[in-house]
Amino acid sequence: MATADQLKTLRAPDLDLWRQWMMLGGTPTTSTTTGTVTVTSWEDPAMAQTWFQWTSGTASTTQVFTHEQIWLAWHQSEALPVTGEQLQSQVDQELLDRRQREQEARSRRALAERQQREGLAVVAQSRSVELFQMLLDDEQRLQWAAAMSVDVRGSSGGLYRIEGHRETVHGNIVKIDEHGCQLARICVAPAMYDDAGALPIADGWVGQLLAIRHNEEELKNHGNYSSFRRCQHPGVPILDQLAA
Amino acid sequence: MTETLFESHLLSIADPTGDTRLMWDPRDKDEVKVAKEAFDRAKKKGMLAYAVDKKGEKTGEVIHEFDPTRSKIIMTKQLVGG
Repeated sequence: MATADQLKTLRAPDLDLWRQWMMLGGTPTTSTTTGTVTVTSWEDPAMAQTWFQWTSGTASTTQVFTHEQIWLAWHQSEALPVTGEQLQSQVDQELLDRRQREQEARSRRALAERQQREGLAVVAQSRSVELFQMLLDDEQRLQWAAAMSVDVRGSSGGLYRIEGHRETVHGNIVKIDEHGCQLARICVAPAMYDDAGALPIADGWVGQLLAIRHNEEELKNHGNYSSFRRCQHPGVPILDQLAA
Repeated sequence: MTETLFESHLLSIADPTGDTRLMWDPRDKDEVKVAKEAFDRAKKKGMLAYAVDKKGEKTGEVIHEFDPTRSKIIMTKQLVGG
């Protein structure tokens, strides 16, 4: 098969025909004189006859072939002449095909790796959710099951709500009052990355839960506050406080 | 009796797999040693350790040294503001 570079030198119609001869399977013997390649013989006698007939106008047999006869013979053998542009297009397509195969192989590997990672991530999330729920009391567990949020009393007396429904540890802690009204949103969580990768989300909730319960001041010191609100029910008494 | 996480002495260290869990019997020096080494490695990385005593119980505290008598120790990454 001719290469793209070779094709640049094969623009003359006769050279297209030459390539067709090569594709037909004949291997010519050539001699070079003053830079001109001359075909001296062919492995296939019939091809040799036709070639010499066509190129020199002299025949080694009594039969004389015309260009039209040769052309028709090529058509009949389905060895149609291919233009340089067509062959270039074929070369280009082969390059594209190879790139596509390589891309598909890369995609297959990436997908397999991602599926493996995500499989591991599912297991990791499941383990961390299990740990998180182990740390809840019965009432909190019910609240979590119903709303994917849990109210937690801080070690310094504050009241917070950890929200899990958005599957994030960013801005998912809400400072609430005794009515449950939002007072502010707090963004603070354990660092979620280590040398081996990202931690599952529920590991963040575990860290938030424990920090509220046992390390509230540290949590407040690190937290970034936003979305400040006022109590929506300032006149409503707190039943627990009245009972006390 | 089937041993559960809450009936054993448990060390849980948060990591990308969810967590690494170690259990020990306080009477078994080898198990205690393994748990303490894991605790110390995590502390060296800057992790926080919380001792939580019973299932769902709200009492607990931040600890800085491994205590094999605590029923449950959970280690998390340091808090950072977002």
